[in-house]
Amino acid sequence: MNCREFMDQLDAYLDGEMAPPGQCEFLRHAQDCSGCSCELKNAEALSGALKHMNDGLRVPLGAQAAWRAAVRRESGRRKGRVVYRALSTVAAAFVLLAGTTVMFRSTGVLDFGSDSAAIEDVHRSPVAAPPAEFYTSQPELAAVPAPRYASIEADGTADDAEMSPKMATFAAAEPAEPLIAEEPESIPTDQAWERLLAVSAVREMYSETFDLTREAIAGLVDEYGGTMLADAVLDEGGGRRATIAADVPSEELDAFLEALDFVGNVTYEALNRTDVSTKYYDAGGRLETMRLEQDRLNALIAEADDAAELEALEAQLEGVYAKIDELESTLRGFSTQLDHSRVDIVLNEGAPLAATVIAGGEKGEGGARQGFARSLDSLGKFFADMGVSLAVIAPYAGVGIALIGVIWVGVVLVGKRRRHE
Amino acid sequence: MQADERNLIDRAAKGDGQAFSELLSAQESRMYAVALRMCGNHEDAQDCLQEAMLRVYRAISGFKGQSSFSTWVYRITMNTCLDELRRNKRRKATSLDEKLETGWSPSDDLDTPEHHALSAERRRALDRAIHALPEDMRSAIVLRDIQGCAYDEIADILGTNVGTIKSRISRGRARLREILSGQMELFDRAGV
Repeated sequence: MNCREFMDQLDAYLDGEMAPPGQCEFLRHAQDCSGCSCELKNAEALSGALKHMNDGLRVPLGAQAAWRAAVRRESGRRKGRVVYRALSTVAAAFVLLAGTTVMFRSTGVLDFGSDSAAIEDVHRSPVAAPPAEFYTSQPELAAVPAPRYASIEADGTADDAEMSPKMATFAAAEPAEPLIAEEPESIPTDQAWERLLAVSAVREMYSETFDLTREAIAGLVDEYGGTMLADAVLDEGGGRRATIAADVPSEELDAFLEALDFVGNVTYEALNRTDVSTKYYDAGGRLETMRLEQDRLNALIAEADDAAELEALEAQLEGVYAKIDELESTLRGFSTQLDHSRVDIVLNEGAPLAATVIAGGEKGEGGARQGFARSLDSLGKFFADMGVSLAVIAPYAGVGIALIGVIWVGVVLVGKRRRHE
Repeated sequence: MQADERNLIDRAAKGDGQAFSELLSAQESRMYAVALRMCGNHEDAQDCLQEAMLRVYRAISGFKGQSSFSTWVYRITMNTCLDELRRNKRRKATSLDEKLETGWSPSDDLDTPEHHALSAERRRALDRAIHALPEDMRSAIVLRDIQGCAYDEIADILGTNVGTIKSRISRGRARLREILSGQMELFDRAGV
């Protein structure tokens, strides 16, 4: 063994890993070589010193107490964290659900045939045709061909400026031949019968710049092609209040209301819909009948030989004319209702709370109570919608959670297998 | 692993503070010794011990028993010390002599003034030399030559293979001999 080999074997010797024959040779070299002998002596001394370095070493009492106290604190924090995590999870789930509800509300997912959906479809939504009894039960309609409601939209460009497109359809209908002769050929049984909804809106709002806002509202009415019906200001001492009524073209109503939200701070809003379909079509059918009657009487008059008979027929004709005028007027009224939406706006000066409190007395308290009731109502509706949202998303959430669970189990199993290998 | 130890681990994993305290009391002195030799002073060693205990407490529910509990605890302690040393490097350097305290409690039978002075001088020299080693060599030397761990256990603790550990220990010992070559007379007398 040379010195280099000796140094290479030194660690094995110190660690007691050297086999006996090698050890003899190793020690023999140490006896023969003073340098290696010195190295061995130093290494053994150092090894011995290192081995005994911890002799008598004690953990200071302060350090023992410190780590135990730290662990106790950590234990308390961990319990707190469990509660915090649980609360955070519940809060996150609530926020998620509330967010989903708001999103569903804005996209109309929750409007299962509700009024707002009906508004969107006011001139479009086909409903089932009225039953045949609707016509047969009414004498005037018995022989009248049912109006071709499906063609109303197509005919909506009729030139009659005074009449609405729907009225024009009735007015332009070809008179039928004999009054009693034929079975009405087109009583609608499977045709779509358009649902007609007259829409009106209410907005209550406040503004610090009362006069400017009032002017802005008037400007908006004008801009959207509407008409101001009323604009009254009442000063109750605690702030002025304007009551404004306007007619706005129905197709512009949504845009108008949206624009209205920007000129003042809306505190209450409502949208009312009135279904005028039955009355409208009833009046239309009656008008049709009267026109047929008018033609029939004119034909009889043309063929009359007797003056008395002629006089009687003309008297009947006068009556028919009167009824036609009345029905046309009724239809015009409906058309106005359908083509224009009334918007009632209450504009309060200043902040809503101040206005309510300053108004004082029973009125102020009543206002506050009403506002509180409205808030509760809105909150209740929102929570109800949240319930519906939960029901809507529950199946998807269930699938998602199950998927995550499966992935997690897979990851754990793969990890275990790898560790096992 | 003994049944008692497994039982204590299970209880500690469920948050039983008493079981945790009992379990770690058996490891505390070894953890502290490692921390003291790695850090070189009591103050940092106490910080490391506390931090290592917290890490063990936080992680004990994930202990699967793939290595012995003491090996696992050593690993956490060593990692905590290495983190602490890295943090300390960024701090303002303080005098090594000020920091090196060995925490040696002399035994009564050997506590003669001459022996005490020699022991103090020797431990200062050793501490200085150990502290002068690079971290990888120091950790291997501390675990092997001071704590008496087996090579494979050291490899497990330091997350490397046995060959690397042997190499580090060999080079570390050679470096120590080199550092202490002028003071070997301190180690001539056997015993401590």
